[in-house]
Amino acid sequence: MKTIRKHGELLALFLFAFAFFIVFKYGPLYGVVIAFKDFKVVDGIWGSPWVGFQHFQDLFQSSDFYRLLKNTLLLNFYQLLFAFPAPIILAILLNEVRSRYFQRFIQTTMYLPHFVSWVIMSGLIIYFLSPTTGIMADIMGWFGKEPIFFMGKKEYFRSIVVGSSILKDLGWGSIIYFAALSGINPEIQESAIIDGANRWQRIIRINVPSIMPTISIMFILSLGGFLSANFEQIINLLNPVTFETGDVIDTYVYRVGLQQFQYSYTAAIGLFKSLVGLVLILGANLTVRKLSKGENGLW
Amino acid sequence: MKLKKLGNAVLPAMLAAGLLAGCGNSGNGGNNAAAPDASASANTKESAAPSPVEITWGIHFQAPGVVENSQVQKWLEEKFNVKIKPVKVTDASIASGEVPDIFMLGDPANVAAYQNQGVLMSLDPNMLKEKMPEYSKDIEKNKALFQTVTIDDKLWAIPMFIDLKPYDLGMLWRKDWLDKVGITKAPETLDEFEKAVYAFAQKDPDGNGKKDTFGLTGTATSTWSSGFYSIFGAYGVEPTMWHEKNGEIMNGSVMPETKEALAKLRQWYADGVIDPEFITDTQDSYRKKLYNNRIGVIEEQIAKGALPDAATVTEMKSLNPNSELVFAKNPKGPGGDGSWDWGVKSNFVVISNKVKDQPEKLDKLFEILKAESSDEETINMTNLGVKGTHWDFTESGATAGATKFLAGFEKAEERDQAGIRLFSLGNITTQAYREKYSNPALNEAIKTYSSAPRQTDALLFSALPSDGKYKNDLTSLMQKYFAQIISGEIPLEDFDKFVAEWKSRGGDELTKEANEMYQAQFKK
Repeated sequence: MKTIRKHGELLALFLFAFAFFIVFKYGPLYGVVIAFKDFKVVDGIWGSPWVGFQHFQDLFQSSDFYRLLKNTLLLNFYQLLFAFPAPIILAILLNEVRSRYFQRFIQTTMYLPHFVSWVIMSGLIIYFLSPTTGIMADIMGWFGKEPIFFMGKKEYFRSIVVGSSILKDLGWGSIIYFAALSGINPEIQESAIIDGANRWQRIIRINVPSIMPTISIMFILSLGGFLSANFEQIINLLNPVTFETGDVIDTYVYRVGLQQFQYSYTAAIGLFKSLVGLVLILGANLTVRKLSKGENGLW
Repeated sequence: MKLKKLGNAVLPAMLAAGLLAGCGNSGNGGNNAAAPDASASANTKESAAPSPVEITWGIHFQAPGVVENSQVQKWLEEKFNVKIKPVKVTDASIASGEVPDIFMLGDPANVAAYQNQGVLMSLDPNMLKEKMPEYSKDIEKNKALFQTVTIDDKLWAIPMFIDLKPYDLGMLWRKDWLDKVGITKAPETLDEFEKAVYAFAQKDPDGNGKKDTFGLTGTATSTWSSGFYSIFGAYGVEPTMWHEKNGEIMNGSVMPETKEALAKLRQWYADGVIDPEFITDTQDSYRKKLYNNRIGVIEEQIAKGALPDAATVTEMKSLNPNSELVFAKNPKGPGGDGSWDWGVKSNFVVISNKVKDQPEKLDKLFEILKAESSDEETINMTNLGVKGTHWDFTESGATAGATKFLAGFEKAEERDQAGIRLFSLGNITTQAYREKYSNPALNEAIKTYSSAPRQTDALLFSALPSDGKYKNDLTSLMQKYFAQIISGEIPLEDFDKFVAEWKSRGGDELTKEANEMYQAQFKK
């Protein structure tokens, strides 16, 4: 009681977040039961008949399943491998830039694409990569190379997805690292300079270790969205030729579930995907804790 | 195309639905204030008017969003002594169990999917005859349409028909390009077509000295088929469509003629006649390519391309004043001429399962349906608005013929604000009405240029029992193979591999069902 009175304001603020999670995250969890039912709209969630693991069996036997799982895992893995470090590198590089004005200018222009929706962004990308009118074709022309129709070749699809994510969210993602970098005590830098450390040594020995906790937390958080982060992006870039490498669980769920009313089946796929995501995030947290000897990590 | 559009629309639509749900309550408050007014005037006509029935009405599916308490809504409420709650129908709103009392669906496949979910009410054909005699008389000659929405021996939707379709496709050519390369008349055969598109690609028709033009492009990403409809049509097939040949039903995706058409397209691609971007192009983008001197011919709807004041023609003139266009028929090849043809089917009116136990409401709905089908005043109000304010005949003082919308209401979105279109039930109207209000010039153009009814679905686009399970998958399989065959990535012989894969992934099962359905319901 005493603590409640003491931290009243904080608790009141917390209530909003609490309500948000109850209403939008925990409440809808009830609907997950349709993965084990044969859901019909008229019968409602509870009234539809139970079918046990039928949908999961169908899923594992489907010829699409392994292609979807592979595409989803690979795409997200590449995303993590390339798109995750990009903003860190940008922040560290820009941090070294002397001219304040130039630094701010770059930062601001790089935020911009974040505010453009994927529908427009993918239209731009298709246009950039066009073999006849696109800027990429021109650049390749300067080097005497034949233009490639990137959007029409399945082997380029994943690179395009990862590349366009970097292009779009590089600047935005770097904000938090900028903040972390500006929090480093200048005295550490000064004493390092006096000791004769050059720029490169200062980056490796001071900047990177100082922002390591931020990096590991961001890493775990981004794993939380692993497997489900880029539906809008992929659905807008996908075409029949790139299905083989680009069709992921989310686009499949959208196509089959929402457009053909197979809610139960797709709920089963969604549930399975969440399970994979959970295993990954638990694993990542464990790894981070081990590596940092229990200092970092979410819990 | 449909798929992508939907994708782009889903999130905003969900958001909008949420917002509208919020607005709905306050809107109702306003409605209550206005209600005494309406009922008061109703009361003067019938002294003991029963309290108005409340109808939730799924607005026309092309309208992007609900406009509450519009002029047309109030007019309908007063005329039929009802209260209307307009709602936007989406798959998501249906899934959450919010089914309007009356709404429209576009395809027998939608009707089948909704029926399977148990949200629709089955209709008694005799009741239709009794309650909507004018409609029933007109649809008599197209009564096969009833078969397309009959499932388990019951009727689930009110079909509508259309015989002169403004959206039938023909070819829209760059007349100035044809002149430039020395072709005097618009191509009519496949050979002439080929000569023209080769010339477009090779003879620098835009005269800029650069090799930056193509003959044509396609739409490999449409949701229902493969694009290049007129070329496949010239071989007598349309991929994904069911064709009847000597009493047997076969799918256009896997017929031998399809391979011949692919061989031709593949050759064109190899010779630089087809724009490599046909894989990512849409109907929107290929129009832009026509405007921007990149390609010289597109497949265009007759209403948008055949008349001098048609949309694409005027757009072209405004962007590229020196250009000239000419409309022509689909090219005639070894299999005749043809293009994708949606046939006589139009849309379908469906009624919610919940109305079953509300005879009073059902009566009202049929009263409205009858009026929207045969009462000129109601049809005009819901489709055109008020004469003199929203629309008028094109010829001043005329009492029939082509109509036009007046300034301020030229765009469908502007008309939505007054409620025009929201409550329209499309082609449920009688033949007599359509004749009175149609544009003779457009009708003439359709009769001239359309290949219909040469090539349409033998099952009138009915949904097969296993369509839900296989159809989308098979369509994307077809698109993948065809795009790769045309662009030369895989050899033409892989078509046979595709056929085998198509059959084993559910195609055989669908073919069997299609033949059974044809024998049982459509055989003449």
